[in-house]
Amino acid sequence: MQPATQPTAAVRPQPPQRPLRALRRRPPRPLAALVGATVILGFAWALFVPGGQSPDEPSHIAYAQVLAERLDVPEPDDVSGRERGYSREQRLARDRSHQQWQYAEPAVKAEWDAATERRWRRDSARLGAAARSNGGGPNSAAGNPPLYYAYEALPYYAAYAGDFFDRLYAMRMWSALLLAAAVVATWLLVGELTGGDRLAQLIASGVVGLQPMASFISASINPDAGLIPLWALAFWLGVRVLRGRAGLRGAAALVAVTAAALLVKASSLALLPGVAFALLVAARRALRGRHLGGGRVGVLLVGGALALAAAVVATSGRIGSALTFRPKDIPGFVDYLWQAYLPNLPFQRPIPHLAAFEGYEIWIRTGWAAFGWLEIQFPGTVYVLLAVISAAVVAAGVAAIARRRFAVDAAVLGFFVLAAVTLVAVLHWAEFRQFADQRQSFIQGRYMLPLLPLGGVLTAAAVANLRVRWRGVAAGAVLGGLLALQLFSLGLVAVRFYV
Amino acid sequence: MSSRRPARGALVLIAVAVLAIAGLVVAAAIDRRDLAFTPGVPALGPVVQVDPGRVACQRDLRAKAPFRAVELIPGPPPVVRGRLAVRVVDSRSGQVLGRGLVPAGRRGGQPLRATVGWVAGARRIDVCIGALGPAGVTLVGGRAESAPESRLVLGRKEIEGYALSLRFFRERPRSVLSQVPLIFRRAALFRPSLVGAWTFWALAALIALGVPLLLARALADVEPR
Repeated sequence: MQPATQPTAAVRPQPPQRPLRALRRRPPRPLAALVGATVILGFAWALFVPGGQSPDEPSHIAYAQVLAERLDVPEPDDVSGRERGYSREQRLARDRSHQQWQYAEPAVKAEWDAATERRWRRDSARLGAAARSNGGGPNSAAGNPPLYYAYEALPYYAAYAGDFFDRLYAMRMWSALLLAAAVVATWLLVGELTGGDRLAQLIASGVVGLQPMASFISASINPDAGLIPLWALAFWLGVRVLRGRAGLRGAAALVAVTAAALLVKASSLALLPGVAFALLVAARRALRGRHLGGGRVGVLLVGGALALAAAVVATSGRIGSALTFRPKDIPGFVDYLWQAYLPNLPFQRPIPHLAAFEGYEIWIRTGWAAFGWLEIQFPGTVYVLLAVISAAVVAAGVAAIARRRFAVDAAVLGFFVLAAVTLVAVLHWAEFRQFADQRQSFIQGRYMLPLLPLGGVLTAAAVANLRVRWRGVAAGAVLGGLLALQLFSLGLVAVRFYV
Repeated sequence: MSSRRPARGALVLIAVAVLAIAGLVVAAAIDRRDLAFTPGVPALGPVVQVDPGRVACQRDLRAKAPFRAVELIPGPPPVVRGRLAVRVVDSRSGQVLGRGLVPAGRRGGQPLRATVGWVAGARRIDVCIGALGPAGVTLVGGRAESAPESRLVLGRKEIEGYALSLRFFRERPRSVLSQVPLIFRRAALFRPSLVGAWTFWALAALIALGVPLLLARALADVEPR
C-alpha cells in the first residue's frame, strides 16, 4: 500500500526550478485544460450578465472610460454630482438598456425590446466624439488607484471603433482572463509548496478558477478582479523567496507584484506586512548562508522599501482617512468585531445597521454566491450547506498541515497567515471607521477573494488527509461540485434578468 | 494489458456534472413563470392619487407580447378600501382591448393582478385604472425616465416625471425550460454587434459538454492510479 503522504502525481514530481520557463516551453496539459474551462465560464459570465449589473460596475466603467479617453482620473466622490461622472454615451446606453432601474431590484426587469435597442443604436451613432469623454465628474470608484483601469483601457482601445456595448463587453472578457492568470499563479504556488504534486495543483487552482463569485467578479469590470491574480502571484513569489529559490530577481518580482496590487486597490496594503516578513526572513537566511553579499541584499531591501513606499503613497493618497489608526479606538473595534461574528452579550450596545452574524454574510453568502447587485442569491439552505462544507474543508486543511500530511514550513505559514489576517483586519478596521462616520456597512465577500488561492491550498491540503486511492475521487467531487454551483448560479442569473 | 486503474476521480466529476445538468433541467422544467413583459418601472412609492370617479392612465406603453392580466400596486396600506376598474385600450384607435376589476379589501401596497382577458401583443396600449369608490386609491410607481415613451395622466392632467409600476402576465405560466430560447434572445439585446442568441447556445453547449470534459481530462491526467 502506498503511504498516505506520498505525492499523488501520476507523473514523478519535478522540482520546479524554473517554473516560468517551463511554462513557456509547454504548459502542463491539466493546467491548459483548467485554464480553458475557466475562460469558457468567464466569457459566459461576461456576456450573460447585463451591462452594469454587477456591484458598482457603472462607476468602474466610467473610471476606465475617462482614463482611456482623457488619460485622467475621475473627481472624488460626491453623491449629488455622480451623474457628471458618466459620459453622455454611457448615460444614453444605461438609460436605453434600462440598466439603473434594475440595480438590486429583483422585481424590475429590462424591457427586452429589440425596437428599444435599435433606437439606442440610432441615437448612439449620432453622438459626437465628445460624448465619450465628457464624464470624469464625481465617481464612487475615484478612491481606487488607476492600474486596473489602465489594464481595461487596452480592450477599450481595441474595440474603439465599436459602440459602447462593444467596448463594455470587450473589457469584461479581458477582465475575465485575469482569473485564468490567477489559476496559473495558484498552480505555480502549489507546485512550489508540494514539489510539483499535480493533483494538489489541480485541486487548488480548480477552486480558484471555478468558484462562482470569483468568476462573476472577474468577468465584471471591477478592480477586485485584478487582485485575485496579483495576490496569487505574490503568494507564489513570496514562497519562492522564503525558500531561497527566487534569487534577487524573484525578490524584485515580489516587490513589483506587491506594488502592482497596491496600484489596483488600497486593500492590498494588507500584503505589506507579509511581503516585508518574507523579504526580511529571506535576507537573513541569505546573509547567514552567504548566498548573497550584504551589499546586494541591502540594495534589494532599500530598493524594495522605496518602491513599496511609493506605491503606498500613491494608494493611500486616494483613500482619505479610512485606515487612520487611533489607539483609543481599539476597545470599540473589539466590540465591533465581536458583534460582527458572535451573538451580542447582554451588556453590549448593538451597532446600528450592522447585520447580525455579518461574518456569515461576508464569508459565506456574498463570498460564495451573490450576483447582480448582490440581489441574486440562492435559498438560505444552500448557504448553510456551503458554510458547513467550507468549515469542514478549512478544518481538514489545517489538520493536514498540522499533521504534516501537507507540508508547509513555518515561515511560509507565517507569510500566509500574516497576509490573510492583515487583509481581514484592514477591511474590518475600514468598516469599523465607516460605521463611526457614516453608520453603514462596507465589507462584501468579494473583498476577501484575494485569499481564494489560500482557500485552494487548504482544499488541496484537506484532500491530502485521504488515502492516496481516494484523493482522485475527492478531487472529482470538489471540481464537479464547483461546476454544479457554477451551473446553478448561471441559472439564477437567467431567471433574474430574462424571465 | 494496462495495469492502470480507471480514472475514478474523472468519472466522479462527470457523474456530478451530469447530475447537476439534469438537476438544472428538472428545476427549469418545474419552475413555471408567467411574466409576459414589463415596462420595468421600479416601485419607488405612490405617484398618483385617484379619487372615486376619476381615472389614471399610463399611455403609450409598448405591449411586447400577448397578455391576460395586469399587475399594479394600489394603496394606501394597510387595506385598499376602494374598488378599481382596469381597462386596456389600443393607444391609436381607442378600442378597448380588455377589462378587469380589483375588488376592495385587498392589502394595500402589495402587487395585485387584474385579469383583463387576452390581449394581443405588438401594439401600443394605454392602461387605465379607475377608482369606483367608495374610497380613493393611490397607485405606486417610479420615475418616468424608466418608461421614456410613455406618459402618466390623471383625467387630462399629465403627472410629469412619474410612471406606474405595471407588469403584464401571459395566459398560462410557462416553464423556464421552455423559455430558454426566449432567454437567449433577450440576453442578446444590448450586446456587442457580433453577439446573438446563437452565442448563448454555443456557450451553453461549451459549458454543458466542453467544461466537464476539459476538467475530467485534466483530472484523469493527474489522479493517482
